[in-house]
Amino acid sequence: MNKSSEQTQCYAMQLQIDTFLDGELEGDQHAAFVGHVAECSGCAHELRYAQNLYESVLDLPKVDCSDALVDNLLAISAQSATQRVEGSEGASAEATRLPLGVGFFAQLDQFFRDRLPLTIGFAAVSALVIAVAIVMAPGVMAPGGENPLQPVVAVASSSPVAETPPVTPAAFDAEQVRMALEELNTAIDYLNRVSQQTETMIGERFVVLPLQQSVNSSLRRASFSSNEDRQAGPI
Amino acid sequence: MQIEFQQAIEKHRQRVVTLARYSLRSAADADDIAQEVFVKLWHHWPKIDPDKQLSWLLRVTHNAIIDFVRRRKTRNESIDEAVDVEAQAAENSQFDVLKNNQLTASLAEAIRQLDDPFRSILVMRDIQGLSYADIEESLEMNASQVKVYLHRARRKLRADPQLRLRFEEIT
Repeated sequence: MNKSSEQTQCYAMQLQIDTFLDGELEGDQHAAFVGHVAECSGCAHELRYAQNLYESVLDLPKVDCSDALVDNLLAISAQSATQRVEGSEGASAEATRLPLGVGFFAQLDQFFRDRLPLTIGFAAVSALVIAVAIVMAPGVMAPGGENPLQPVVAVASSSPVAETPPVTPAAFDAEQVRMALEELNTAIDYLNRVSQQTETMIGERFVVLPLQQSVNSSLRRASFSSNEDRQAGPI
Repeated sequence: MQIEFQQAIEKHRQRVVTLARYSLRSAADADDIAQEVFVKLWHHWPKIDPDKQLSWLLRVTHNAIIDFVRRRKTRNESIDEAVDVEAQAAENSQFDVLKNNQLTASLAEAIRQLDDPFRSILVMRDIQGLSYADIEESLEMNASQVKVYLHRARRKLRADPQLRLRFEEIT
């Protein structure tokens, strides 16, 4: 057998070393392997080394963690279990409370966010503010000094309808008061946002743009008049 | 559930820690991995089949080690690794006995140098004595893949020149 084929055979045999070490080489393959190793010192040396290394790896110790780590894990699991129990109790309490943001102003806010562009939203809010201002105003005075609302007020004051009794704070529970405050805050936030955006729009439309136009037209007039002077010329 | 969790820790802790310790140089890092893995077990407890707990733990450990090594490479902690070796040597770890046995220490280090999945399979099969079925399930491989990787891992180990030199000195 030439050297090349010997090397090929040795290479093929050495590929079977691990299968042999695992005890999975059988029959003719096992016989061929054992026969070759008996005759080939190089493969025998390689097998000895492989076997020593394999047994050394098998003898490597299994490693354990400290008990402190285990205690830490158990503490984490205990804490997590406690939080789960408290969370479920809180969730049942939450279920009895009304969900947040279901008041009128919250819904109005959501409506404007979802459906209407800002300008229409601004217009709607402006109309609402104006309407509220008209209703809340002390009254519009007619040219004759009469208050057109006065007869209505006079009629109302003489009405036999019983006045509604004043509402006492005890009529509302804490939850209702809290929700009313939240709605009020939501409305205020919304109006603040709209007013900020309105200021910007108004500023741009009614101040900045006209100013720009005025400056531009002045510049045009100035350049036009200087052209005329040049065209007129000394002659 | 907590009692069962404790039992699972007692039953599988050595397997998880062994895999982590033979993959990472630092005992502290290996313990962190082990803690991370068992915390995940706790959080996923209801979803895990009790019969497949071991393979689940080993798979999560294997993935955690890969992520850890990848994060380290990303942070380019080559300098820190050198410091780590000294810190590791100074630690009162369970490999202290190996300091007296340089061959075994060299072997452990050579195993750590192997890439995944060669290293994990070698540790699971030859050190931990797990069955091929457990390894297949843990690493989501088939039987022939596991054997091929195992044999290649052993050949890679044999090809380590420093390790071979150590063995040559002894024999």
